[in-house]
Amino acid sequence: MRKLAIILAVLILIILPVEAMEFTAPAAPDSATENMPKESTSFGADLWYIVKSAINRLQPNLTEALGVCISLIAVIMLVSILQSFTGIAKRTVDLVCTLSVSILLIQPSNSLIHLGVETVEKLSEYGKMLAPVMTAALAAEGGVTTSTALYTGTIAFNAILTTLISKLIIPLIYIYVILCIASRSLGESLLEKIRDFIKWLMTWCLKISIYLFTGYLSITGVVSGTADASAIKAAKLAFNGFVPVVGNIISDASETVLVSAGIMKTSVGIYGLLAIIATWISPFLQIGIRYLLLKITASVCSVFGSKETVGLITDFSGTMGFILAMTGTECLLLLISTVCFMKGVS
Amino acid sequence: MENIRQYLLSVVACATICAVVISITDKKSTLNPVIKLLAGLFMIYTVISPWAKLRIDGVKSYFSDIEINASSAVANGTASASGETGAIIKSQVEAYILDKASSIGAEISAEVIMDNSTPPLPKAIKISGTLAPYHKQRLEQIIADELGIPKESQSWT
Repeated sequence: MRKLAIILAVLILIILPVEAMEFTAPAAPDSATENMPKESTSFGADLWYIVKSAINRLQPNLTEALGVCISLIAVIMLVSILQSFTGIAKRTVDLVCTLSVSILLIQPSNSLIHLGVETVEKLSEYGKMLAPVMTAALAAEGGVTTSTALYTGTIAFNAILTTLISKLIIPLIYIYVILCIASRSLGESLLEKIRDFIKWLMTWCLKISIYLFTGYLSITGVVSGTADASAIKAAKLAFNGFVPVVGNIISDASETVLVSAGIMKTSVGIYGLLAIIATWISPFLQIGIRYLLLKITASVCSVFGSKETVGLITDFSGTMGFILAMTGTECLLLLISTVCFMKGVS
Repeated sequence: MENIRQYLLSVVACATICAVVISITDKKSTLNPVIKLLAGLFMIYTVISPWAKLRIDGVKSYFSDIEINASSAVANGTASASGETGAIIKSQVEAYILDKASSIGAEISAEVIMDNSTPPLPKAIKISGTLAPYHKQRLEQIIADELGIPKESQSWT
């Protein structure tokens, strides 16, 4: 009976902090909730559920994308048949073909650019809500310096990346599309050079932002992690200086709180990771499938199509690649920061 | 960011205009070197002039806002942990006193008052119950010696 009472007392002590000290992950965005599992089992199983759920919802987009690709192949094949007749100016036919391909691809590309922007905004908003919760949980676990550094880095880079995408990369993507159409239609090398410069600039912006972010996290992680670990050790040593009974009680209580804060931080982090992936995966698959199908279409069309037309299809697939990179970079930034929060004090 | 976008667009537009002007000029013309020079000067002005107007006050205030928010989130977490630690310490100290009282055959109720330090420490205690003077004296001594709460901070009712 006495043992049972002791076990109950210990259980109450362990449970108490979890009930009182609550760190709740912000709810996943509406578009992600349909991909999220109803009941959480394990991280791997939940992740697999999200992937399967997103793939199941892909069918209408796949049909639409296939329709566009078949139309492209039909147009290019028709033009190649026309070109085989004598008396038709090759240049005019090529121009008409390039413009037809552009008309077929502009509308889907525009809607996918909007989808990309929307996804980045949703991810960014979610990241802004998740970061304070993770910061508080990590601070409760003793990582005061680490959590401050991680919060500052995550919010600053998140804001910089989101602004970079919405104010710079998106207008540049539109300019890139226009330059692709113009350069393929007119065959002007100057336009090609400007187009290549814009392509380089967009790639460089995304790459450099993620390099800087990971660099910042690596350096601050080591420095602030060591500072926090030392602070926790110093606090534990200080407890020994108290009156023995109180010292032991304080030491046990602090340990219990640190452990429960760590457990809560991990559960919030896992939910956050799943919510970020669930928000990102559907748009990623939608854009990714278009990217892949356009690449395949370009390869098929290269058998009978003109160099400019096939090049234009490849350029449009490149545009899809930029949208993928854009959403992928934002998602990666949030995943890395959440994992760093979860890693906590070393 | 709006300024960066404007800057890049103006550089791209300037480069396009310069390239078009140079390409339409006859290469054998005597004006060609002059036009190239003017185009170069125009390009240099477009690239350099916005940097002279650059102000970093906005960036500084933005980062200071982030730091304030970070401090607030950290304070929230540490306060929450400190409060929880205080609650556990309070309940354990009370349980310890009740245990000691029952070991000497006294039945009492105890309420520990915590201070605001980090971690919170017991600073005073309110004990109610009927005790023999000997038991009271012994318990007072135990609380003072083992829990560090001086006799003057112990209130008995």
